[in-house]
Amino acid sequence: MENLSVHEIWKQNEMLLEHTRKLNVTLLREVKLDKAKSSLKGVLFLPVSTMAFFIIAASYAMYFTVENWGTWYFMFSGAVVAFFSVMLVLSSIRQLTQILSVDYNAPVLQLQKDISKIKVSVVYNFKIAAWLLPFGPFIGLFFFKALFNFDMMELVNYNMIISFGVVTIVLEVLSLLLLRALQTKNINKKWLNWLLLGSGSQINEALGFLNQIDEFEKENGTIS
Amino acid sequence: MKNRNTEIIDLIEEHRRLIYKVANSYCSDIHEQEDLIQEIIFQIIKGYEKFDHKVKVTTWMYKIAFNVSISHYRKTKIREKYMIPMPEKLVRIDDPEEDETDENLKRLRRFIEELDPLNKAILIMYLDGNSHLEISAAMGISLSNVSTKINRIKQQLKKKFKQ
Repeated sequence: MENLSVHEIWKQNEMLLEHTRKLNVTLLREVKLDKAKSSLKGVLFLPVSTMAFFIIAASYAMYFTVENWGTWYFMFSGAVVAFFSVMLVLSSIRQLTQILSVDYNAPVLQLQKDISKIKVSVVYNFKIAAWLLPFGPFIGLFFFKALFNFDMMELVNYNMIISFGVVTIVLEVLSLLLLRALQTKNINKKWLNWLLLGSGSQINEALGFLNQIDEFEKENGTIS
Repeated sequence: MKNRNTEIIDLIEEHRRLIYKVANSYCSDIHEQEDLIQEIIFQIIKGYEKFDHKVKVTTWMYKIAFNVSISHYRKTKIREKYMIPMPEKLVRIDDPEEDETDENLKRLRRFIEELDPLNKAILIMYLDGNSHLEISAAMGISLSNVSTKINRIKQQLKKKFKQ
């Protein structure tokens, strides 16, 4: 089939489209911005709410640390909660910046990659949660003190200290395994999809598309 | 001297076929096409302030149209997983013009429909007579990659038309 006839067929298509479509000049001149703005609002909700929540959490954790100055385990647990809250705030700010800087002027592959990466960035928040795991017992101390004004260490005995240590080691191992598993290439594992339930299909789609873009960019061989 | 708003509106009117073609290639539902075209126009108007004229205005418009359309296409693909589509026979009003459409045109449209979103973009720009350089600038891939893909698509197209 000649190139020329494909172009002729394409021109037929163009004429048909022209015939069946009308460009609404009124629409153009009024430029309805509502639809575009509302689609952006939906995407912003998660990072904005995450940021707001963890700013409050970080502030309280710092106040908690100062208030319990002198009690080493409360100071440490407050500092841990404050540190990870700040990390989540920074992660949300990074996501927000990425979303707000989406620019449809960019070359197609670059922009579609950036949009896919925004969707996948929720995995980074899970990585932060994985780093937090080994500090689980201290987080428990923090919550009992913050919510019930109860110092769990008053109940401590030898068995509790051993359990504390064992739990910390187990959580440490789990954390390392999770961090290894939370590579984007591993994201199709069933248990990880379960973990990402709710955002899973979007992430899988985004990752699928990222892989497609990678393949698309790599194709540069000669035609056989 | 024309103001910038009038300038961009005139440009959009002049190149409206480009917008229709891209929207039509990524979205078959007529109501969604209206939304998609509106979104493309919005992004073109919004982006015109930053347009530096380093590429042709049509190349720039293709970039935006493809970016919006591919993003839209990906969103609707996810939505379709959870929606039960209306049976076509209940809602479709037969367009008499469709019966008269050339068989080759139908085949070409089907072929374009079956392509993945990125190769679709390349084919549309190629069929519109854009140079490999312009396609490379719009897509953000190398010139040699563009040539490779176009040749591959042409071979697939030849096979399709021989069937």
